[in-house]
Amino acid sequence: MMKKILSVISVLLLLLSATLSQATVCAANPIDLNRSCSLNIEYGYDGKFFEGLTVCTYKIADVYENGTYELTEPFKSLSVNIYGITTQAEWKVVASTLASYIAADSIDPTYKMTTDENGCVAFKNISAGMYLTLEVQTVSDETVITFENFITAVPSPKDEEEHLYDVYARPKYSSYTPTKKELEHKIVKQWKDEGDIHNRPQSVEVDILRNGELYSTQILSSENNWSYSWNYEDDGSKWQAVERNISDDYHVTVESDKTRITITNSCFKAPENPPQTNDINTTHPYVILMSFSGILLMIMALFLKRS
Amino acid sequence: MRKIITKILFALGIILISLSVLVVVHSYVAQKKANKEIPQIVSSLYDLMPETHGGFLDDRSDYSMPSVELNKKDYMGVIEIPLYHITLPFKANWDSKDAETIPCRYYGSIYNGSLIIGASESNIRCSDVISIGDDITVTDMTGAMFSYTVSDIIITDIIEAEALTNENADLTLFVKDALSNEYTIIFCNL
Repeated sequence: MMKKILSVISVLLLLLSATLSQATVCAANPIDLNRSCSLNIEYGYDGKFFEGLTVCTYKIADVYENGTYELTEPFKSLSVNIYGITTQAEWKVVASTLASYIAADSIDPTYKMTTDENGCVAFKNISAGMYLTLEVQTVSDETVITFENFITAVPSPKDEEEHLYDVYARPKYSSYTPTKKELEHKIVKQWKDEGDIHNRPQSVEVDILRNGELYSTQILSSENNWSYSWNYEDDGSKWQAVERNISDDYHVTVESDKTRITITNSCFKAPENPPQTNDINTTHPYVILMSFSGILLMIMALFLKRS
Repeated sequence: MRKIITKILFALGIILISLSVLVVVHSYVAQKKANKEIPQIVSSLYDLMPETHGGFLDDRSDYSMPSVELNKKDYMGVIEIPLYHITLPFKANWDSKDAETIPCRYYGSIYNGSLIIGASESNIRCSDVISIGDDITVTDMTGAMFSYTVSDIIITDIIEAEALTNENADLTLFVKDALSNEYTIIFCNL
């Protein structure tokens, strides 16, 4: 029964997270900031629950009565945007970005607990806010099981009027078995600036982390096509990266999968009107014109010569 | 005097014809070079993007498309027309000169169905045989692959922004035919 309730609440949470707009939780009644809240997380799947997992959660934003959020320090000083986000996929990217900086800067968690025999942790009497719970990895029969990072609003909107002050979540999981073969890893810099190539920095410095420890610092620039690759054995290591000294004009996001890390710098540009098409140039008309003129001149020359 | 005029006209005629030949050769060599580079660019773009996966439209807050810089040029993805074995990169910004050799994004975003890409006949030679119902895919630099079906084709002499922005189309391609100087506008839907 509890499992069913948790499943329903997890789905509800996902849906509610998707409705977070302009870093705002949409429920009509104001949030009671004096009321204590709780965040309850279950780590398990297929009837298997994981005891002894260390779960770290970070309060990344304060909430106001009207449901508006504002990033807290030290996250406030990072060039990460949480405003205007409308989809679950975008929140996932925010979670991944903040998790990378947490690892790189060794930021202490707001709360830390270990899962009980039911694979559950319960952060009780916590203040209202937005919480990031970090990815948790465990190994079972050589298979690496990963429970993803996730961001939860506490309290979460229960319906159009009310808020849910005791929040339940079950993070999404994935599993894979490391091959122990050498894999090529790559870090790639992308830009979201409408191709404004001249406004970009000459180069950027990125720290690459392996299992939370600094592995390498690299400079990405147009000289290396803003990318860097390296080989490493597929041993289940977790790879992350952060960009340092980001230009004030840009926000940063970090996304990573098994072998690829993408750091994107976004710079807001108002949508422009369609440009002038300026007829796509082709040389054919000029060639034809020149050829005809040439032939005509030669005919005229021949005509003059004969007459 | 007549002899001198005859010689001048003859010389001018020869110069103009020689210039035409030079322009044709130069254009041919430039196009050959670009066509040779295209597979390498496509390969590099696929190498720089994450594993490809199905793309879909959503209500995301930021519709801007990411680009990568490759050899100091900005690219936004790869366009494919499987039926004609065409695979082409497309540049992030519109430049009518660049569009002679490599397709360029003219306007819009793949994420809200407003993307318009311009190209020349040297890249998409099949604009005269492309037909309604053909499949076209566009893969962005996040690896999201969007699959489209050609829904309408218009042939026009003059290309203007108004003619290209069709609210019913999720993707618009326009291709210039070098010989007829006409544009083929291909409207596609997801």
